[in-house]
Amino acid sequence: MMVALMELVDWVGLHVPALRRARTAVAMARSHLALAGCEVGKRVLVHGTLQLERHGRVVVGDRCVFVAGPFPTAVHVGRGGTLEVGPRCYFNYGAQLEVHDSVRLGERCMFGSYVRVTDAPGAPVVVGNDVWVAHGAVINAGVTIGDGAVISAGSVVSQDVPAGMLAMGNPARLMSQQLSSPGGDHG
Amino acid sequence: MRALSRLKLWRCAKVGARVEVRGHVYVIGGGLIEVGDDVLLDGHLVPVELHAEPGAVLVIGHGCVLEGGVSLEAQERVELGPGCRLRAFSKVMDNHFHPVVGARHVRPPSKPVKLEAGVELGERAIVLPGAWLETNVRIGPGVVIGRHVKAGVSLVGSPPHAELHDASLRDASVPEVRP
Repeated sequence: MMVALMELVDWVGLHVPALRRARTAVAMARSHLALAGCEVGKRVLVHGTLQLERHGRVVVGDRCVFVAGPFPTAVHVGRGGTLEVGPRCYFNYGAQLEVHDSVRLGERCMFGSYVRVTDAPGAPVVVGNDVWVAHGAVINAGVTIGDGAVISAGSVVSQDVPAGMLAMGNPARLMSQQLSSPGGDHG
Repeated sequence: MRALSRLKLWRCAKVGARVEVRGHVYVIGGGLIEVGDDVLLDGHLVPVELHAEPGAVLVIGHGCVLEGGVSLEAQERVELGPGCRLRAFSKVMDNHFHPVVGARHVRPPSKPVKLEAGVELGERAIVLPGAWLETNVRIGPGVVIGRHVKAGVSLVGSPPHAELHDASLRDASVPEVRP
């Protein structure tokens, strides 16, 4: 009943500008429910469904946003695993974070819809600040992504990506962001 | 059943005859969405997303089939010709939403996307802004494409490379594909 009421306020707030604050309040309340037992920063917003399976440590920084959509965002943190999400990160719907060892996401990162991040024991994932991971990209275990890098849509990243680079393709290849054409096959 | 399908598409400006919606369809934005005759939206496992921002136009041609998880996002114009088939989790969008270089939160200009008759997108394929896929183009699973592809060409791999599936088109020039 409570969840249905939240869904209703969320939907109305989306379409009625006067109720935006109510929508934000609901999203903040939902973050406390969805991320119960986690170390959650200030003003974290969970608009849609967030499926959390937590057996380890989860830290979510200030002002992170989880967006609503047709598919829920899923977070699985295995026993002894640690997920650290930096402040002001933005997750579109359908993102999947699977943590067995350690996944650290920097500040102001953007994750598109259906992005998947997974690590493995002994192969942690580190994502720097201001990284944009576009729709459908997959970040595999043991990968380190530098600050400001862009992972293009549909890429599968299995090797490290230096700061400020663009990774695209399957397996992902590196190129300069300055060389990426506006009409190119990036995401 | 068809009445229920039309009810699920109540936010679309135009819905053709014999349209069938299985499961859920997620219609958002205040733009113009037109669904042609005999369209099948198969969202019984994962919802189908139809997103048209205010002022944008999203056209789904007659006889198109959209499988679960398909996402169509129009910020300006996205057009699917008749008989297109979009397999599971494929995506068509006419805007990158963020620029690669510069301020990430400034939305870049949109580029209309057109899929002509009989185009087929494989699972998890992604069609990017400015793409123009001519008739009977086949895009393989996981391919990301953002350019003009001539009729009858198959693209596979990522980055995509061309394969001709129609013997009568063997002499046709293949599209330029950046490595």
